Amino acid sequence: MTVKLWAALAALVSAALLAAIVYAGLTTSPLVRPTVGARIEGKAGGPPAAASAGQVLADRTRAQAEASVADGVTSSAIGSRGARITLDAPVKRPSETVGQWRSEVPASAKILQPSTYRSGISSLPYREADVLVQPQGREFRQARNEWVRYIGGIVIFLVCLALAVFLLWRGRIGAEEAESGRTVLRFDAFERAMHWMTATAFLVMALTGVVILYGKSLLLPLMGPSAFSGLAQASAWAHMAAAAPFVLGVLLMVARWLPGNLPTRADWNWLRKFGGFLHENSDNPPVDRFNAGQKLVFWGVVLGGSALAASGVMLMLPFFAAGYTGMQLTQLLHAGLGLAMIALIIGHIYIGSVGMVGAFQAMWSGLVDRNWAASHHKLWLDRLRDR
Amino acid sequence: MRTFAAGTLGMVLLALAAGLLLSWSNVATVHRSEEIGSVRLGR
Repeated sequence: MTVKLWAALAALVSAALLAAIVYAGLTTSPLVRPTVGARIEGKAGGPPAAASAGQVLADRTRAQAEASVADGVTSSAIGSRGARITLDAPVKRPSETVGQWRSEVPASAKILQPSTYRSGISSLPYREADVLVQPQGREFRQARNEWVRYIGGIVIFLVCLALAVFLLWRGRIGAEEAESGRTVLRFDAFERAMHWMTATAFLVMALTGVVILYGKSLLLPLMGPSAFSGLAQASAWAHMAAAAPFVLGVLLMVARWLPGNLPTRADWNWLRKFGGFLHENSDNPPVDRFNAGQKLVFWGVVLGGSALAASGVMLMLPFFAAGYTGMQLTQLLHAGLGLAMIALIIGHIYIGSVGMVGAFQAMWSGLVDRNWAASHHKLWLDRLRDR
Repeated sequence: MRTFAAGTLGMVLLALAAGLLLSWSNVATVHRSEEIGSVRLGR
């Protein structure tokens, strides 16, 4: 009963966080938040109907340049064509002001500078120093600060919500028979140490990665610039340093667990029945040492970890192997994959702890009960018996 | 418990070694602003 209570609480918290991030994503403005508001009104009180986008922008720019912008100042100026321009500083509702600005000009109007890639001549001693303007930086910034951040957060909280609802509905997954009292070794000391080295390294990288990606918008306003800059710098270093034990751990896992994680015909059967996890009495297909779900986690960690390591090395050596476009794509890939890995590992942590009775012991002490092994890894237990 | 401690210790030691190597080799230092140079606008 207590488990269900916790599950309900976790579901509520996940749903609230999910709703918050969806709301934040939908209400975000892609434009820079203005500090000075300029409202344009024509003679009749509305925006000048025939004013071209360029004219509106020029009027506003001139009015802003002329007005002395101090806190609390409200001043008016008459723009060309008789439109009245009112300035407010500071802006009370920046998003509304941006919305108003955008409604004044046709959606098709090009009010930003045209996208032109410009390069010059530079004597700075590194690659790409001669690139003076790279307009795709705008799209990159929007992709990183909005798409990756919001979609990543949504996926992570969706996974949390799904797991909490699953726990609420199904409860903890047990074994078919009660414990026999006789145990069998599932993971030896080397495998456990290797797992925990990789796991703690991943945890460090996940937390510091979240600070790197979300810190500026979530932590900076709370901590202030001096505390946040220390945290951000420490996070960047810890993130790079923890990559070494993580990569070593993944390599050791490949060496040790690859044979047991090759796909077999039985995996498809297991996946179709979802491992008998859905109902207490549902068919639990017999599997060897690793079931298809564990194999998916293994391959997710190996392939995802390799791609993260490769892209991470490219980020550590800026412009060594890629130009601006390459660096931007690498950053997006690294951030997106990292968030996907976090979602995957949340699922792994769930089923390895709360989700299944006895699963945590397998990696903590290495020992599992024989009846647990018979329930969840029958073919593996049979092979052990034969030996 | 002991394998968890061993794994965590291994992680910390390796990360420290990697961090020292990174800082010593200057590889990950992206503070290029200290470098002196000049830029000329062109097309």
